[in-house]
Formats: sequence, structure tokens, C-alpha cells
Amino acid sequence: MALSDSETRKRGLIRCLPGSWIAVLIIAAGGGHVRHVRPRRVAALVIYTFLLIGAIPALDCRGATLGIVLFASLGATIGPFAGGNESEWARYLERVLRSERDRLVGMLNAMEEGVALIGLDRKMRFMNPSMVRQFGDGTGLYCYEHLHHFDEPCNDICKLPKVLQGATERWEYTFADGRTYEVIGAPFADSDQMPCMLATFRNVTQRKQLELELIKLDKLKSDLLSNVSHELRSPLTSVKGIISSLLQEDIQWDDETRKMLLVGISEETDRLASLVTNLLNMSKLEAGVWRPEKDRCNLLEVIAETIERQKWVYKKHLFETELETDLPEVAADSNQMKQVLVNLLENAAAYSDEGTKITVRARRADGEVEISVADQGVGIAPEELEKVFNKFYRGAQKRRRPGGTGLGLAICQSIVAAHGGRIWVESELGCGSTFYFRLPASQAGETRTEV
Amino acid sequence: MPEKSRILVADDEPKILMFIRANLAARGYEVHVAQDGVEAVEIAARVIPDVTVLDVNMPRMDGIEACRRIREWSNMPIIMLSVRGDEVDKVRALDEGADDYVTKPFGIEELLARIRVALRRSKAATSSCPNFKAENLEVDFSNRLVKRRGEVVKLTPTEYELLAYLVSNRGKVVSHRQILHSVWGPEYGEESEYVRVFIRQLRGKIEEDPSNPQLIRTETRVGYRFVAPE
Repeated sequence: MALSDSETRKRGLIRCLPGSWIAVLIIAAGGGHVRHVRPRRVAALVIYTFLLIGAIPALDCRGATLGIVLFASLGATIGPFAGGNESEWARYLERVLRSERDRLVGMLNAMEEGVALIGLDRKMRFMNPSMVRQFGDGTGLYCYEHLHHFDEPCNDICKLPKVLQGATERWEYTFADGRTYEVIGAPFADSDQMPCMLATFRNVTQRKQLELELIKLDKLKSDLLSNVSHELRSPLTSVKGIISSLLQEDIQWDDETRKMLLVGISEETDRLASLVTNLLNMSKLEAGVWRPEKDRCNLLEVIAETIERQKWVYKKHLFETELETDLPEVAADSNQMKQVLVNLLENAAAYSDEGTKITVRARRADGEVEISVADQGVGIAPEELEKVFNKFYRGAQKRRRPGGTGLGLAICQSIVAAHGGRIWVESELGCGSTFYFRLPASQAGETRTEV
Repeated sequence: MPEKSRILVADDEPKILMFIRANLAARGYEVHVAQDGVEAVEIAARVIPDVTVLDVNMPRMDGIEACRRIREWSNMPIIMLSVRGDEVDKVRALDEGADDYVTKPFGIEELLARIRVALRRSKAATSSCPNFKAENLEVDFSNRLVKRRGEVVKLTPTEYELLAYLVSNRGKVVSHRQILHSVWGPEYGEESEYVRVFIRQLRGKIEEDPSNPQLIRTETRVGYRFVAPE
């Protein structure tokens, strides 16, 4: 819809005039008709005094002569002299100011972030309620005393001088109590012109802890990878070394040595295979995909079967059993139980001399079933007892048999934990070690636990 | 028949010890084995091997520490074995006095070649050169003796060979590769960190101010030059 000429003119004229407090009257020459009044604040203008600031002659687009008369409201200034409604005006202004101030204070009060104003003299000039909640009220105290409990300014970490030079600084700080804050400091001149730092404090302790946790996990992962690659390299070194020995054309190996070398390859490849299997089981356990298929499990059968197999591998050790015959059944995955026993028996054999005894015991204890494997080997130093269940931890004591993956006990621990049981070790250096684990006995009537 | 060379091998992996021992025995060396660092230091002191091979990662005392202990009283060539192949690990081992470093897994020929090089170095006789004498430094090639300000400087065989090579080429620039070929052997050429470590050790022993070397000058990106004082 096209605007009429006069409409266009009026709007153009009015828009080019500044400020909403300027009232415009356009008076057609001669006629004295008020053609337009800029609308806002007219009521105020009528009530309060206003000042005529000028009249500009102008031509209408139709050629008529116009006078543009400008009025500015100066009620606050001239009101008292003019004897107008100055108290009403003051009340109005006060109302406006108060509502603006209330809004600002309300915002500061409601802010989740702590806000503090710290002066050049390092005194805390202002703290918002959130800041007071988090650090206690320290208005008027030195910032280093109140925030850090230091006796002197903390110059090495203090950003105040930089901020006072006009830079906005952002940093993270962990207080002695462990809370971490992200702080943003901006230059600010207080109402008395004191140069200040306006600082907002955001508590990022949780985020920081997560970050640290992630860094730790990352380190664990890379440690694990580096350990795995080292564990793989030892058997690989033997295999490569032995094969390259056999390939040398200028050496004739006698039958005995040749056999010894070949047996070496065979044993080291077994070790590689077992390392890979253990690693896979370990990662399945950790990812939660190797869940126990719990069923009624007769541990006495598991023990008998496992010992039979290990007797064949460790021919020169003496295996003994002390088993309570009326052992209650447990809800367990019999394959995983075999794995636990195999690992414990292999350890017992690896760390004890041939010809010594390895004793497997099973008994009922406090509503649980306790299985133990005792050897007469080198034993474990007290300070190492906790660590032996860690992945790739190798005790200071030497294995009597080569190999091992450093994962056996870690796997035992994971499996036993997945069955709601616990595993521990008692040992004396030079006398041998006994590994125990306990599983809760099945309740009567409980047959199968769905997973 | 010349006396058999004695080799000490220390590793905690029985299979690795087994095949190294079998090979060295088949090649006519007298072999001694140790399963940890403590044992290695004890046996080294007892049998005084011509070459010692130490695994870095051993229980009770690691190979680096064993190497340091042996270096306290002996200049015998020491070869380190390790599953770690990073440059920092090599430099650390060389810094502690090792002469060479073999990363696992390795072919037996490689280890045998390095043992031969080490033996050659410890028995080499660079007696053909005329003795060198300048200001504070004296190199007596016929007696393999180095003196600084008239006092005998204790050098390991590798350090001595390196100095002898630099001195016999004095005034000329020699590259890392030339140094490796001549001092370590023709099998070497890429191990420039070896040269850097040994040059540093040598400077520490013969320069007045090792941080401002006057005798062994660095020719940036090329190699080194031995400058005889006027």
C-alpha cells in the first residue's frame, strides 16, 4: 500500500529528529494547525515543563510553508525554577532508577557464578551471594587471605596486575580443598574510581575431575598397550632367535641341541597363544561381554577335572587335595571356574620348585564355599600382596618356569568378582603362598540365575 | 690355538639365554650366563668377559644399573638388549656406558656380528699411526694410551677407537656415517645417536671446557673435525 505524499514527508521529517524526549510540532504556516506530534512521552510533556529549542522553517511538498517547532523536556532541570510538579518528577525518576537497580542486583544475586570485585589494594570490595556461599563473606579482607588463606599476596599466580593493565584474563585454579574454579578477571573502575578486577568464579570441580579421570584412563590404556607389546616381544624374540639360529647354513646342530631349540619354539608359541587368549578374555571381562553363565556348579568336579589336567603338565609337582565332600553347590559358570583354578595352579607350579607340594582345599565357610591353592614356593613379600592382582604386575621373585602373561591373577580376580565372590592371598617369603577365593553358596531351590 | 673369547650373557628369559648360549658355544666362544643384574655383575667380576651382553629389563637389578656397576671398574665392551627401540632408551643405555644396543626381537646373525665387532674393538691394535702430541693432549697409539696434561685418561675401547680415528684424520671433516663405519664397523651407518653420545663423553674427558670444545669441533649437519692445537 503506497503512502500518501504527506504521510511520507511527515515520517521522514520526524525520523530525522533525535531522541524520544523531543516533541515535534509541525505547524502549518498561517493556519496554526498542529499537523503532527511525535507520539511518545506526549503525556509527560504536557504535564511537565518543556523547553522550546527552536523552530525551523520548511516547505511542504505541496509548496505550503511550514514551521517545525522542537520542544525538549527538561523538566528535571527547569522544573524547580518553573515551579512545576518537580516532586512528582523526582518520584518518577526514583521509581525508574530503583527498578533498574533492583533488576541489576537481582541478576547478581541470582547468578550461579560467584562474582567478586577486588581492588588495586587486593581488598575484596564486593561479593555476590553465590560467592559468599562458596567462599564465606570476606568483604573488606585481602583476597589472598580470604580465598587462599595465605599471609602474603600470591604473586606468582596472581593475575590482578595484568588485569589492572587492561587485559581480560581467564584461568583455572584448584584450591587447597580440591575445588577447581574457572575464573575470568576483567578490568573495572569502581564508583570511587579505584581500579579493580571484576572476577567471576565458576566451580568446574566436577568437569576437572572427569578430565583427570579421562587422562588417567588414557594413561592406563597406553600403559596396557605398551605392556602387551613388551610381553609379546619376549616370546617373539625367542622364536625369531631360534629360527634364525636353525637357518644358519654354516652350523651343523647336533640332534640334542636341535631338539632343544625346536622345543623352545613350541613352548614360546604356546606362550604367545596363551597370552593372546588371556588378553581376549581380559578385554571381554572388562567390556562385560564375557558374563558368567551361572548354573548349578559342582566345584568338586571342577577341581578334580582341572587337577587331572595340570598333573599331566606339571609332572614333577605333587598335587594333593583336602576337600569337604558335602560341599554345597554354587551358582557359577563352570568354564570360568576352571579358568580360575588353572591360573592359580599354573602360578603355584611356576613359583615353586619341582618335587614340592601343591595343595587344593575346599570347605564351607560362613554360608560360602572357600577354595584355596597352596604352594611351597618362593612366596610374596608383604608389600607386593595387593599388587599381584594387577595386570602385568610381576613380583620381584623369580619364576621357576618361564613364560606367564602377567594376566592370570587379574583374570581370576575379574571372574570371582563377576560371581559375587572375593579372592585374596596369604604368603610368607620363602615358605610359599596360598590363594583363596570364596563364592556364595546356592540357596536351596535356586537353580539358575538368569543373566 | 688362541684362547677362547669369553662372553657373558644376562637375560631373565630362559629361552633367550638358551639359544644365545647354543649359538655362541657352537661358534667356539666360552659362554657364561646370568639371569638377573646382580648375578651379571658378580659373574662379570669373576670371569672378566671380553664382551658382556645385558638385557635391560631384568629382575633384582636392571641391565642399565648392571652396566653402570661394571663400568665402575671395567672398560669391557657392553652390548644392551632391549624390547624398547626408542632413541631415548638407546641414548640412556649409551650414556650409562654401553657400547652398543640391540632391539628385540633380533636375528642371531645380527647379535653375533655385533659381538664380533665389539671383540675386534677391544683387541684392535692401532699401532701403525705415529704417536700424536699437542699441548695438553697425548695419544700413544702403540700402547693405546691417552694422556691429558701428562695424566692418563681412562677411556673405554669404543671411546679410544673414536678418538684414534678422529686424531688420525685430524684437520679433516668426518661424517657420522664414516665414523660409524670405521669405529663401530661396516654394519653400522644409521646410528648417529651413538656418535653424538660418544663424542659428548670424549669431550668430557679430553676437552678443557667440554661445552666449548677446541679439539673436537662440530661441523653442523656434516660431522666432526679434530683440530690439533697450534
